[in-house]
Amino acid sequence: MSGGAPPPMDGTSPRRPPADPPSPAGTEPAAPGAGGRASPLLPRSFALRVALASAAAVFLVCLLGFGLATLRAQIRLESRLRDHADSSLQQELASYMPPTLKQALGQAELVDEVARHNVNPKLLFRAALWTAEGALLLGPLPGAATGFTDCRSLLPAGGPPLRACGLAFPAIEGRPRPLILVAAMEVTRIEDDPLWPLTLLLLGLAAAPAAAGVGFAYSRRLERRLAAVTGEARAVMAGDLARRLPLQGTGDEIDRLVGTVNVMLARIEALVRDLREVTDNIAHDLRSPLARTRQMLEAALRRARDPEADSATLARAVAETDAVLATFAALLRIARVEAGLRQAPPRAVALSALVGFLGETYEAVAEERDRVLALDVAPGITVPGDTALLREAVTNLLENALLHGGRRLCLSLSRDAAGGAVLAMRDDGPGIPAGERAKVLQRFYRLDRSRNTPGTGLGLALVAATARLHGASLTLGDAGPGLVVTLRFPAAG
Amino acid sequence: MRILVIEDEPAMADQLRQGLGEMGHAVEVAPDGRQGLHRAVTEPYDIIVTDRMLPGPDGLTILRVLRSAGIATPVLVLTALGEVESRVEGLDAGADDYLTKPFVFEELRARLQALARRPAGGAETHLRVADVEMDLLRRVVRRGGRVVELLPTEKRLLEYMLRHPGQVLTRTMLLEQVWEFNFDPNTNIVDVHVSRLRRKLDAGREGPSTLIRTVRGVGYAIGTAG
Repeated sequence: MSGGAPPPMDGTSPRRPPADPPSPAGTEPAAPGAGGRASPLLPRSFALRVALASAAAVFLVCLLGFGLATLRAQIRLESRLRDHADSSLQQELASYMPPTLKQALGQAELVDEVARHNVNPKLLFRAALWTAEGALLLGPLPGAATGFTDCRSLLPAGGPPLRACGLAFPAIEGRPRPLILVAAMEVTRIEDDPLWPLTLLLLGLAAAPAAAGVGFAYSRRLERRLAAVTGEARAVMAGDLARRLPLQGTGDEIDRLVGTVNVMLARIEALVRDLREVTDNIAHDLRSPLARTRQMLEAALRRARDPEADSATLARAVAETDAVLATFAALLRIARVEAGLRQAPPRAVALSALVGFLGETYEAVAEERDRVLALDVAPGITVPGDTALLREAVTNLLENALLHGGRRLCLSLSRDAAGGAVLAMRDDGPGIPAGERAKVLQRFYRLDRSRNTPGTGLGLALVAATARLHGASLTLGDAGPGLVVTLRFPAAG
Repeated sequence: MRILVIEDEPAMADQLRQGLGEMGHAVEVAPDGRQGLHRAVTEPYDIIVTDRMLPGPDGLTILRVLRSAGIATPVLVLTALGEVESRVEGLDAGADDYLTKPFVFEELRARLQALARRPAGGAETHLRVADVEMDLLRRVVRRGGRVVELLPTEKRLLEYMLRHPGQVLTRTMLLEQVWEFNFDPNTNIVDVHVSRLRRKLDAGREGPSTLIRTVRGVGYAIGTAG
């Protein structure tokens, strides 16, 4: 096993994440209600359900509302009728009580007078006369056992309801005992109309379809909008990520929801586009070295065995594979940084010491390569963060400048006016055209001229991810000539 | 040396058994965490090499159990590609070294050697190999009694080498220990600094440099092979 050949596998046992249930783009989502709580008795259409519900509601409101209103009107009417009856009765009673005692009737006369009135069938009144002790002199009055001197409603068994008022006649000459005269009259009751409940029912039945119609129309419009949204969403699901859901322009709840979903779709589209680019780049950057290696190994296989040449081939194969593995490692690191998995509680990182140490390390490397690296590091600067990530980010900046920059490089660390740390890596090389500066921060993006320099094309992408994790801004600028990469950390507090 | 390898993947386990066997070690392989832990606790080994992800108790669990049971056998943890932060986690759990798969076999060999010869304590104030002496308190380096001016980085590099005399130290080991890099840089910073160190130590001397040897394709060693 000597000779530096790495074991062929990375040794992780085949642990896969649990397979997702397959959900190809064409699969319909479960029909709404299929697994839900919808009752089988109700129609599936939203509009129909709304129509049914509003019809039922209006029907009930009609019955209850009109019923209550009628009841109230009836009660008031009855009380008016009662008042009317009472005043008539009291007038009638008063007619037996002359203004002066001299004209007052004796007991026998009074009985005769009342009885005479009772005989007349045209009169609504009926009267009964009691002594104050309760002996009936004339009558009887159905529903009343004894006399009384106020007004009452009488409900005689088997007869119409009566309203009755009584009056006390004091004892006088010719009328030795006090008497009580009670006059009564029939009152009609409104509720006796047998058609009234039917009227109420008909009224409800007439109002319900109207409500159903209005409810159906409104919810039908809603349903159409939702159907349009669903249709567009299906199109997006089918893979057309550029589609957006239709907006009505009314700014109502649905429009706001649709707007939010559209923003989400735009974000997804951008992410997928990113992912596609990265995937294409990975395919390219990983396939080329693998293809080269395969080519080389196949050629070696076909020739006659020659220990020296074979060793050289194997060594080159190992080098190519190592490059692929380095790319993989870098990709995984970026993915982890971006996922924020390493966001352990930030510690105070002594940035001055870190930058100074790395600067010293690379001063020697620069000298070896006939370059000059100047250092300008302000002492005592710390930032909250992750030492390992910042070390790698600064190293990437230094190596980037060494590999792509010019002859004179400068790494500086200082504080800005607000107290934030500013790290700047400056070179006097060819720089990066303004139009490409954002792109070099993406994974695998390499300027055409640097295609053949070593590196994975992932260095600045990792710096960018690290900057994001630390809340720092990363800018690429023109150093005139050359490139200046600046990392600005937010001021503490 | 008697080495216990805890590795669940047959191909990897075979490679380790064969490679370490060729180096003259007695290798025993446990195919899962349960058996590995059992053997590690019941039998004496010079070194334990364990995969981090294992069926049964995983590598870090085994480590913690061993350390809490007072078993101080040096442990080297193997881990899959890209698990950068797990390195810190592993060292925290009591691992003596950490190696990412895939690795060059020489890398493993060098690390096992370093582990086997790990000095018991670190209380010394002076390190000495051949005629090179380092005063750890004053950070002064002398060769043959004459002071050699070194930069802080070079002193860190020399100190680490002096602590492992005669051993092959790979570039990755030097990057991890001296520079605390857990990634591969694109430039040859180890070679640059070793050759500078060598130049400064050899300044004014005749003949070929023999103090720091280059081990081709692997790394460097200071002093005579021991």
